[in-house]
Amino acid sequence: MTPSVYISVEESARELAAKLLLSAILAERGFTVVLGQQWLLNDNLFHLPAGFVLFKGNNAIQHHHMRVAKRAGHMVGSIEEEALMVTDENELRRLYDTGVAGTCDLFLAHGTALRDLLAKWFPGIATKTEVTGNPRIDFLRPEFLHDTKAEGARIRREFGRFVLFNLNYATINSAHGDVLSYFDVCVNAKIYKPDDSTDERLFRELVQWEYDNLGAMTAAIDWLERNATGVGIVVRPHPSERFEVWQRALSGRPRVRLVRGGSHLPWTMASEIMVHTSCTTGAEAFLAGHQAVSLCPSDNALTFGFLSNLVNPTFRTPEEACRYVMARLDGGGASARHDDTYTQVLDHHLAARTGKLAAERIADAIEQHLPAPSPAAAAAWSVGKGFRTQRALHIGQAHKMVETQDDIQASLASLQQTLRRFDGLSVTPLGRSLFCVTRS
Amino acid sequence: MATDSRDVTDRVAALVQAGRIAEAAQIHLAAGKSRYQAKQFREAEAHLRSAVGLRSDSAEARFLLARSLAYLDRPEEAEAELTAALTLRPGWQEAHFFLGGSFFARRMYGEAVPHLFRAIALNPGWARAHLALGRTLFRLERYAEADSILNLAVALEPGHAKKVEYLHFTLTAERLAAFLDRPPARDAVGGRPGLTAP
Repeated sequence: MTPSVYISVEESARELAAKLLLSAILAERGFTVVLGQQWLLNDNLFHLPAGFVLFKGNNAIQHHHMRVAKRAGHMVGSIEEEALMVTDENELRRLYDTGVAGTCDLFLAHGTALRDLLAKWFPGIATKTEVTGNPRIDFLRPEFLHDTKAEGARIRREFGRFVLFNLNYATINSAHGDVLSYFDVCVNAKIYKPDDSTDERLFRELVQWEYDNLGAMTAAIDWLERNATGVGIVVRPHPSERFEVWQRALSGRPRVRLVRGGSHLPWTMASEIMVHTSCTTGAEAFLAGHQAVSLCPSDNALTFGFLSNLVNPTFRTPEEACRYVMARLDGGGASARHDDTYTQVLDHHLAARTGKLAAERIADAIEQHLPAPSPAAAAAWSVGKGFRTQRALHIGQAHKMVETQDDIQASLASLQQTLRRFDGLSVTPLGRSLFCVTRS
Repeated sequence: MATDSRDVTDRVAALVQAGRIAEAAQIHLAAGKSRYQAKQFREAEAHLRSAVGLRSDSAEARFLLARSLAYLDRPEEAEAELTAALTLRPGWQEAHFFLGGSFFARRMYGEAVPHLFRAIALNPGWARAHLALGRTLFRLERYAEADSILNLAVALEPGHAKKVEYLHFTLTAERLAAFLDRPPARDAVGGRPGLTAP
């Protein structure tokens, strides 16, 4: 085992900044860190010195690669990116593949709630579970929001006052092309079993729920377009949705502007208020101190499985939600942090919102599993024969993690400026969207 | 059947030296097929490329090479081999089917359609090919044609009914526009009709 950490990224828009922060902390401690595109990293597991591989999840696909990593001599850990902001036990349980408890050496839990569930599902794993929080939440702390707010101010100068509608219909409007393709992806990841009647019912409920939410959201957009003057309407589809469907449907509506790509947060911060339908962005907005409301038109159990709906005001009908939005535009209504119960709920689900960074806590947990770093070990580190620098990607994968060395350097420079640390770290490309981060 | 790579290499070298090229190619083909069936696609590729190198007119070697390349996520190379296989053996329904499927996966729906039409023309009872063609036409928003083909797919294989139903759950631009263009209800916006899955 060498003091090396391999950190895979699936969606750069979602995870890269957080995992770069973790990489920088580990590199600062002297570890050799490889960060980047999960598919290329997985291809190279046998061609990297034995170390610790951090996976982004625990589904069947991730579990398969964990087993490969173990065969290649690595230790493995996971941070369940899909579980962040999810509270429903059934939804969380399906993210963890059967047998993963026996394979994974370290489970990182976002909060005590997830830790308790892991202990319930997999008795005996308490010793390999750490409550660390998630570094994505680190970026919602005041010290990290400076750049976000600056970007938000730029957006506001360009767009003026607006209400933001954050969409999340990635099942019925999947970037995979159609609902059947999305279902196939879920089956492949063993999230759903194709011939299981319970799973079939749950999938149909998910589709129905998204259509219910879509209906309410389009009605809210329409209501605000008709009734709110002096304020713009910005619609931001989820990055995993087919953008062109919205583009076509919203053409001919001059008051509605459609935006895509990048982090939602600058847009959220630039908005007067953000409207969503049980989207994780609602909880992020709350954590960032910004007002958001959730439209919850149906009694579907899914509605109650998201943290956002526990920390944002929720409304049954579009009209109620829009009237609340209008009141906020006029300066009325409650502030984002009006209810202490919201904070108490968060405490159970999200650790490390203050004090030591979540990324720092994860680095602590990983460090326990590795030999102490040393200049000699760092100097001796090299990729093995057969290491691949690129691979072909499916069309659905190709856009998810595309980063250059300049991109990573710029992000690192931003971290350096924000935290006033990480001087002397260097970033070396190992392959396409795959980088080595080390202390010089 | 020779499947050990070293054994294959030795035997092929001897055969090539003796000028028995067809037999040498056949050994590589058999080894490639064996590796392909064992899901050892990189090894399969190596053998099948050797087979094609020795006998460029081997449609079977090109077809299996294409399938291996597809599993290795190299669709463009796979398509080139399938095209070559079809030149050698026109009317090969599986080659048309997989070529159409590869274009579909790369969202080249216009290129996929003729191959999938050809596949079902060659085998009108092939439910899976009907489903693939129906999905492709659906993506092209040729909904009436898609429905007709998808109905046939279900008639041929009732087990496809759920897949077709899921396909129809997809939000289309027209369906979304209908949501947006609905006139508001008199009392409450939330009371609008039709806010349900199709």
